[in-house]
Amino acid sequence: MVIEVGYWGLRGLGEPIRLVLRHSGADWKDTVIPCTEEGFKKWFGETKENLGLDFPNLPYLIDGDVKLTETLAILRYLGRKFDMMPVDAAKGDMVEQTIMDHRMQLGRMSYNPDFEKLKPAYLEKLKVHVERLTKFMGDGPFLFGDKVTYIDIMAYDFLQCARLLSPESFGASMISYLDRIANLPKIKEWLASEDCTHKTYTFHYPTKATWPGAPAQGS
Amino acid sequence: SGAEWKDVPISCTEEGDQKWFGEMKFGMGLDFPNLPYMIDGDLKLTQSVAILRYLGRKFDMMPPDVARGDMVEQAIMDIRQFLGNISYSPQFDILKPVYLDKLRVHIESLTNFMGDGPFLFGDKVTYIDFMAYAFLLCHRALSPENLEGPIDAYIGRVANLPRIKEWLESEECTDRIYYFHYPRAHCTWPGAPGPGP
Repeated sequence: MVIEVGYWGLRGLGEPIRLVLRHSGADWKDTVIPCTEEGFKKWFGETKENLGLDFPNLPYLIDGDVKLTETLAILRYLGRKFDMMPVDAAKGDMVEQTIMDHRMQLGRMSYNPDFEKLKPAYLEKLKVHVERLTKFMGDGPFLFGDKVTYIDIMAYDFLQCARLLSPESFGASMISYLDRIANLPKIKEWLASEDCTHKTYTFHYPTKATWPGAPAQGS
Repeated sequence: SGAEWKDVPISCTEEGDQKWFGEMKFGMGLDFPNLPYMIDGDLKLTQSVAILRYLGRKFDMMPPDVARGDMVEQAIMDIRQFLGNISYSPQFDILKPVYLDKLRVHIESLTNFMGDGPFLFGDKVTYIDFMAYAFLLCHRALSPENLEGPIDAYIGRVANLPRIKEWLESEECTDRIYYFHYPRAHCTWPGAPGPGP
């Protein structure tokens, strides 16, 4: 049974899901909704309401009879499926939510016409966020010690977005953590591959975001 | 739940602000200092959803289907956050129609999902029902015309759970005095308490 994931052709909220699937080695299908007028119209005009989703949205996941939407619901589902759950459920939820909260702030700001005005206050929050995650993790190597969890994969992609905006906000410790995730064998393979979408995908919808977060040259 | 608990309200005043930001926030041993927080013995948590899930596990209020539970939890959270964001925005009036469109879809999806209920996941009351209840009251305060029909009956069922009913009828029920949002000057729609259920 092939797991299908549908999402826009960008990183946004969906990329951690794709990365978890790559890391797992499972057979999966990447259904990309193009960020074009045509793609937009097809999704909203046809597909969205016809997939049998209870709460139609992107990203979606279809795994046999299971049809899910909501990024975190999908990530937790895959986390349980691939043994990538944190041992301490409560702390796991807290870190998951903290990371999501921060990414949503960055996302809202990125689509806001007042992006430049909002950026300084955001950068203050980013500083605190990086500090607290670094402190929480201690020696790591991952957020919850030795075990890689879906939350690490979320943290990776979401922090890479913040890092693109403000590389100076990332100290050695956090950069080492991000490198450790990037070096997980299947992630490493993916990042080095010819068609790695991280070379081309923006973080946000290119024609609608004030700051789309286009990939840095040569990364 | 009937559990013994302590309600520590941080007052929505300058004094309250100073107390939280000046003393409490960074002095409580929270990994990710924020409100709401919860302390249960050695466990210190922040993040609403993390706290709700912790209590859900503790009080046997978890949905039987975990994946669908997570999906509904997030769908409910999503639109509540959207409302929260626009409520604090100077662009509230421009954004309200967008919110109302989303709300209508949300209510329909929720109602269809629940079917006969009586609760979101059938007979078992889950922490997600309380999230839904509290958040739907906020949506209703802004737009009562969209909260009629089956969803209104659902709200009534949660409100009639014995200890909830007792609370709502009590002298000190804060629903009569609490706003939905922090009634600061820049909050366009603070969601003042209505005349009552």
